[in-house]
Amino acid sequence: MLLFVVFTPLIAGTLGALSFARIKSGILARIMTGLSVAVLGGSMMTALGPSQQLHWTFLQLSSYKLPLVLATGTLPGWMAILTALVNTLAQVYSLGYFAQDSRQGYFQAVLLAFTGSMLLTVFGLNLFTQFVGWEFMGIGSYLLVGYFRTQDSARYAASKAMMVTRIGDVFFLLAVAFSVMHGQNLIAQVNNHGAGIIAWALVVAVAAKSAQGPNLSWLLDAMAGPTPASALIHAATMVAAGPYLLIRYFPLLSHTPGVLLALVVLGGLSAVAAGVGAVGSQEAKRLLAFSTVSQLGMMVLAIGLGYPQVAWTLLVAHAFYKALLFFMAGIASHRAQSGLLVRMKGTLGSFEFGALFMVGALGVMGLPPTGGFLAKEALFHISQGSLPHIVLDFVLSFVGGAYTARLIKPLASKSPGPLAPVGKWMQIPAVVLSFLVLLNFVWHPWVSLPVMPLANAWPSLLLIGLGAMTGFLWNKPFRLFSGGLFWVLWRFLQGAQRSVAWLDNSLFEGVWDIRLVAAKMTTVVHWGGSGLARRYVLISFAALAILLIWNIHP
Amino acid sequence: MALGGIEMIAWLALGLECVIAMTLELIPLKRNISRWILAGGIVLLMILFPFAGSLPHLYERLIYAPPVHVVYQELVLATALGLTGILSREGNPVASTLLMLSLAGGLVAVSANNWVVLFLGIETLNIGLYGLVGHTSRQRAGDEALLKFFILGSIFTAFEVAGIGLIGGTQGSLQIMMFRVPNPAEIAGLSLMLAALLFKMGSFPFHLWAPDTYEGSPWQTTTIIATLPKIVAGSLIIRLMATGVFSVIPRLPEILEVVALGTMIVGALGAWRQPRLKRMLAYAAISQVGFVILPLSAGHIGAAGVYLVSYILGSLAVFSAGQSLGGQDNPTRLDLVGAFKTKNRWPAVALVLALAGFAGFPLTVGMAAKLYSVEAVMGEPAIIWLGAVLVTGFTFFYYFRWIFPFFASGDVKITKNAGVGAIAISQISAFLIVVLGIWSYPMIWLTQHLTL
Amino acid sequence: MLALLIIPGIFLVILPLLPDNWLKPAFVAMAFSDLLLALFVLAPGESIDVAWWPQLGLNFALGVSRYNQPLLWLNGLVLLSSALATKAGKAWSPLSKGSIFWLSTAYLGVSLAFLSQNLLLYFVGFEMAVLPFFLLVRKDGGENRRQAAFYFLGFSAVAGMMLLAAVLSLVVRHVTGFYSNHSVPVGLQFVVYLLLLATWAIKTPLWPFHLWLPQTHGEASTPASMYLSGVALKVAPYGFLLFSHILPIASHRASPTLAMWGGITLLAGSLLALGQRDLKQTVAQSSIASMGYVMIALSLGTPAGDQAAVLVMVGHGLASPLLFWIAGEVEKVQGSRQLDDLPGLYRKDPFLVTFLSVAAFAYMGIPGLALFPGEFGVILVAFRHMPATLYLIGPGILVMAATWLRVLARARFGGRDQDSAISRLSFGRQGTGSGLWLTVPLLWVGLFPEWWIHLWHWGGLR
Repeated sequence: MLLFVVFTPLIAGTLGALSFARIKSGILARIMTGLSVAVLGGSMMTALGPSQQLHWTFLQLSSYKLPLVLATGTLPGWMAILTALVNTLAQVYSLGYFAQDSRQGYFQAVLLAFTGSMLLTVFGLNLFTQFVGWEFMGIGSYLLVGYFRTQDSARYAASKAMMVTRIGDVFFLLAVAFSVMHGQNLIAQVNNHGAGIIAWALVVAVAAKSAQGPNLSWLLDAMAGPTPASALIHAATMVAAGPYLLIRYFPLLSHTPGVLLALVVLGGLSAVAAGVGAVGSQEAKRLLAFSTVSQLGMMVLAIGLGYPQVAWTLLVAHAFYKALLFFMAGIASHRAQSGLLVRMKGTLGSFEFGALFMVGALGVMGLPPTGGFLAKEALFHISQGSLPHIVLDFVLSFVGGAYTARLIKPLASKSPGPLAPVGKWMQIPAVVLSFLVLLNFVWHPWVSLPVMPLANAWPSLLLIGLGAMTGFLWNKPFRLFSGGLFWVLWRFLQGAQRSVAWLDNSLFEGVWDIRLVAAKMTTVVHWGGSGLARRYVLISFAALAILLIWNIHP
Repeated sequence: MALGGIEMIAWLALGLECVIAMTLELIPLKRNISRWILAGGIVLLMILFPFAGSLPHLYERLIYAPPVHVVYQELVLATALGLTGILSREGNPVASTLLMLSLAGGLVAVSANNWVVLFLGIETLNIGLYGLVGHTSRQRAGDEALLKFFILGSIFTAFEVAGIGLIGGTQGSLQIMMFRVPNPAEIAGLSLMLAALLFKMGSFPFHLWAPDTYEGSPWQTTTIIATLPKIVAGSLIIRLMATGVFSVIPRLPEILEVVALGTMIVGALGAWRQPRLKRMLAYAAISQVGFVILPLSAGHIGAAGVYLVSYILGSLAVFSAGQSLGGQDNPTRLDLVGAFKTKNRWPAVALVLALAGFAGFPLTVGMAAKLYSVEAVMGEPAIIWLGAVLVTGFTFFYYFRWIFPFFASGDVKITKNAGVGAIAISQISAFLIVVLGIWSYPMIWLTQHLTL
Repeated sequence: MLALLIIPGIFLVILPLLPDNWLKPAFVAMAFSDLLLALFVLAPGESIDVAWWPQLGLNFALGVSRYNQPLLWLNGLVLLSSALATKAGKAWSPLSKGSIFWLSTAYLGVSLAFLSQNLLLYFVGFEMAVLPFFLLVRKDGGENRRQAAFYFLGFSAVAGMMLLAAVLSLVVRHVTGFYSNHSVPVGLQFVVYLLLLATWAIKTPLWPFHLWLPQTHGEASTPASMYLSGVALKVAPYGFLLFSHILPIASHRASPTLAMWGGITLLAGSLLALGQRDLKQTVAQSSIASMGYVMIALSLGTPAGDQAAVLVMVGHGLASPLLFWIAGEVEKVQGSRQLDDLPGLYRKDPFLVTFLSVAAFAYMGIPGLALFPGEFGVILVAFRHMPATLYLIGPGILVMAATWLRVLARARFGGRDQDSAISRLSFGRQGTGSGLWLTVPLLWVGLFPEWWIHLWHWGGLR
C-alpha cells in the first residue's frame, strides 16, 4: 500500500503529463482526479494500517550505500493524509477552474506527480529519499508555476522559483552526501549521531524551499501559477515540506548548538517582515503568499523555541485555512477577471461565499472557532516567560489581523451587481475545507497539545482585533523590497560569467595567433628555397664547412 | 656457395639488360613493350640476386658477395620495379633505358665494397637521373630544375671525389672498412662522403635543390627522383652505419640529430600552406627523410630501414597518384575536390591513404614506422624525441589539409587520367601501405636482416 | 569481443562500394549489431593478447573490464543514435560516404582505445578516434568550420603527441601493458605524468585547455557532435583512469591539485555555458563542466571515485548527444539555434521541448536522470577526500541550473496565443528515433543505476 501511495501519483502523473497530446484533456483530468481520491484512500489505509518499511538500494559505490527507504509512522501518516487530501481538493477544484483549458489534463497530471514527490519526502526514512522527493517537487513547482506559458510573469516566476530553491537543494545535497558518507542511512541515525553540518545545511535548504528569510520573493512571484497549484504548494507540499523536515530532524537540530536560536531569528524575522509585506499588498494572491511566509515563519519559530508539536499543529491548521483561502480567492479573481484587491470588490458578497471565506479568514487570524486559534495560542503559550518572544507574538497577532482585514474588506463587501456563476467543482473543496477548519478546533488527533488556559488568550485576541481595525482603516498599499537576493545572485552570476568569457576570448585570440609564429618560421624556410641556385650552393658550402670544422676541430 | 656454378649470373644479367634496353631504342616497337621488357628483367634480377648474385673471389674486394647485402639490393630492385610502372608514353623508350642505367648504378652502389665502386655506382645513378630530368623536360621550369639538380649534384660529386681521395690517401686502400685509429683527414673524407649521401637523401641542410627540381619536373621524373636515389643513399647510409664505417666520425650522433631534426622541421614548415600539390609533397618528403635519419643518430638500424621502406612506398603512392590526378599539371587543393566521383577515384583513394600513412595515421605502415623511428631515440635527450613527436603533430596540419579536399563537397574539377601503369602502382603501394601497417611480419623480418 | 572491432572494420571496407541509398540502412545496421554485441557478448574478464609488433611493444591486447564495459555499451548506443540522426542532403547532418567513413573510423578507434590493455594500442585507438574528427568538422557544419577544424586539429595534435611521448617513455622501459607488474621509477613517473597531463587537459578537456571544444561543437554537424561529445570525449578520462594504475606515486601526489583543477573546470565550464547565446554552444560548454566532475572523481584515485567518474561519463554520454541532437532538430524546426529565437518552440514541436526539458533536468542533476548518480558519487567522494572542491562544485551546480533554466525559460515559454491547438505529432516522425534511443537509457540509468552496476560487476570489487 505504501508503494501504491507514493509511486502511483509519481508514475501516473508523469506518464499523464508526457501523454498529454494523445489522451483527451478532460478524460485525463478525470483520471487524475480519480487517482487522487484513490491515493487519499490509500494514505488513510497506510496511516491506519500496520507499519511498513520499504528498502531499496538505489546505488552502491564501493562502500558507500545509497538506499531509498520508505516507512510509515504517525507523523508521516497524518502528513500524507493531509497532502493527499489537499491534492484531491485541488484536483476537484481544477476540474472547474480549468474546464475550458485544453491543457487541463496535463495540469492535473503534473499536480498529481507533484503530490507524489511530496509523499516521497513525507514517507522517506532517510535524507536521500527525502532529497529525491524534494528535487521532484522542485521540478513539479517549475512546471506548475510556469503553466501559463505565454505570460512573461509565469516564465520569470518559474525560473526564479527553481533557481532560488536550487540554492537550498545544493545544501540539502551536501547534507545527504555527508550522512551517506558516514553510513547514516536512517533518520534515527542522523538524529542520534548526525553532525552539526547536516543540521545547518538542512536549515539553509528549508530556508530556500520554504521561502524564509531573504528567499521569500520566489514564493510571491510564484503566484503567477494557477490557483489550484498555489493552494497545493502553500498548504501541504513544497513550502510545508520545510517545517515538516525540521520537525522530523528536531532531535538533531536540538543538539546542535546555535541552530535553534538561528531558527528563532529566521522564523521570527520572516514572519514579521512577511506580515508587514502582506499589509501592503495590492493583489489577493500576493497577500496570501506573504501570509504563507509569515505563517511558515511562525512554524520555524515554534521549532526554534523547542516545540515541534506546536509547529505541527500550525502546519495542519494552516494547510486547511490557507487552501480554503486560495480556493476562495481563486473564485473571486475568476469572477473579477483580475487579481487586484480593488477590482475584486464584492466578488464574494453573497452569504454562502462570504461565510466560507470568513471561516478561512478567522483561521488565518487565529480566532476561534478554528484550528488556527489553537495553534496560535499554543505558540503564545510556549513563548511565556521570555519578553522578546511574547512581544514577537503580539506583533505577529497584530499584523495577522491587519492583513486579513485588508483581504476581507473588499471581498466581503456588498456586491455591485450580478456575478458570474461558479461551478460546483469549485465549490465542493471550499465547503469541505471550511468544515475541516472548524472541526479542527475541537478535533485534532494528530497532535497532543499542552493544556493551555484559554482564558489567557485575551491579549492576543485583543491585538488581533486591533490589527484588524488597523487593516480596515489602512488603505495605502506599499511594496516591500523582497527580490534582493535573487537580483544580487543573478548580477553576480552574470558578472562572473562575463569575466570568464572575457578570459576565454583573450586566450582564444592568443592561441589563434600561434599560427603567426609558425608562419614567421616558414619565411626562413622559404628564404632558403628561394629558387636561386647560387644561394643553394652557398648554403651547402657553409653547412659542409660547419660539418667539417665541427668534426675535425679537436 | 653451393650453387657456385651460377655465381655472377645476376650481375651478367644486369649488364645484359642494360644492353637490351639500349638496343630497344633502335627498334621501332610499340612504346609500352620496352616497359614490359624492363619490368620483366627487373623481376628476373630480383629472383636471381638472392642465390646468383655472388661474385668470384677476385671481385669481392670491389663488391660484397650476397647474400650479405641482398636485402638492400632487393629494396633497390623493388623500387625500380615500381618505377617502371609509372613511365609514361612520352619519353619512352629512352626513359626506360635511363631508368635501367640508374638502377644499375644504384645496385652497384649499394653492393660496393670499395669507395671507388661506390662512387661509380652513384655517378651512374646520377647520370641516369640527369638524363631523365632533361629528357622529359618540356618547359623552361624543367630546364631550370635540371640545371639546379645538375649543378648541385656535380658539386657533391666533387666532394665525393675529394672524400675518396682523403680516405684512400690515409688508409692506403680504397676498401670500405672500419678505421681503428682515426685521423683528421680520414674524418674529413668520411664526413664528405656522409654529406654527399645526405645530399642524395635530400636532407637538411643540403635539401635546397629538392623542391625546385620536384616541382619543375614532370610527375614521372619526380617520382623517380623522389624514390630511387633516396633508397640507394638511404640504404648506403644504413649499411655504412651498420658496418660501423661512419662511426669513426667523432660527433656523428650529434650531427645526425641536428640533421634529422633540421630536416623534419624544415620540411614540415615548408610543406605547410603550400598551394600546389607537388611542392607540398617535395617538402613533405624532406620532412619524412628526417625520420629515416633520426634513428640512425641513436644507432638504430632497423628503425631507419623500416622508415625508409615506408617512405619509399608512400612516395611511390603519392607521386604516381599525383601523376594520375594531375597529368601534366600541378594541382591545387581546389582541383582535387570531388575526385572520388571521377574515373580517378582509385588514385584519389591511394593518395589519401598515402598521405594518411605519411601523417602516421593508425593502421598504416607510416604509423608503425613513426613508432619505430621515435622509439629508437627515446634514450636520447628529451629535446630530440619531444621535437620529433611535435613535428609529427605539426605534419598533421598539411597532410590533413590535403586529405580534406577529397571529402569536400563541390564540383568535380579534375578528370585527367594517366596511364594504367601509374594507377596500378598507386594502388599496389597504397595496398602495401595498409597491409604492412597491419601485418607486421615483413617489417620485423626486415629489421632483423638489415644488420646481418 | 573481437567481433566488436571486426564488424566496423568490414563495414569500412565495403562502405565505398555501397550504393547511396543503402548507406543509412547499412550504417544503422552496423551500429545496431555492434550495440547488440556489446550488450550481449561482452563478458568482464575476457581478454586477448596477441603479439603484433613485439619490437615496438605494441601488442594486440584487448580486455573487457568493469570500467570499459559501460563505456563500450555507451559507444554502441551513441553511434546508433548518431547513425539515426544522419539525413541525406542536410547541411547539419549530412549522409555522405565520407562522413560515415570517418565517423565509423572514429568509432573503431574509440572501441580499440576502450578495449586496449596495451599502452601503444591505446595510443593507436586514441589517434584513430581523434583525427577523423578534423575531417568531419572541416567537411560539414557551420560557417566557421575551417577555423574550428584547425583549432581541433591543433589541440588534438599536441594532445596526441604528448600521449605518444609519454607512452613511448614507458614502453622503452618495458612497461607495455596497463596491468603489467613493472613498477616505474618515481622520477620517470612524474615526467610521464606531466606529459600525460597535457593530453588529458586538452582532450578531457580541462579549463583553460578547452578552447577547441566549443569551437568544434559549435560548427560540427549533428552526428559528429553527438558522437564526439558522447563517446570520443571519454577516451581521455578513461585513459587517465588506466594510466593512474601505472603511475601511482605521481597520481597520488598530483591528486589535490588536479581535484581543484577539476573543480575550476566545472565552475568555469558552467559559467561559460551561462554566457552563450547559442543552444549548441551552451551544450558544448556544459560538457566541459561535466568533465570537471569526472576529473575530480578520477583524480582522487579511490574505487568509489573511479566508479563515480564512469557513471558521470555514462550519464553525460547519454545527455549530451541527446542535447546535440535536439540542437540539430531545433535548427531545423526553428531555423536558428540562437536562444533568443527559441520562444514559442513548445508550440511548434512539443516533443522536442519535452526531450529538451528532460536533458536539461539531467544536466541540472535532478535525481532519476542519468547524470545524478555519478554526480552524487563525485560529491560523496570529494566530501570525503577533498572537501575544498565543494566550494567549486556547489556554485557549479547553481550556475548549471541557471544555464539550463535560461534555455528552458525560452524554449518552454513565449509565443502569443494561449489557446492554440497542440499539434498531435507522433513519435513516428523522422529522426525521433535517436532522441528516444538516448532518452530511454537516460531514464533507465538514472532510475536504476544499481541494476546496471550489477551488470558491470562492480559489486565484486571489494
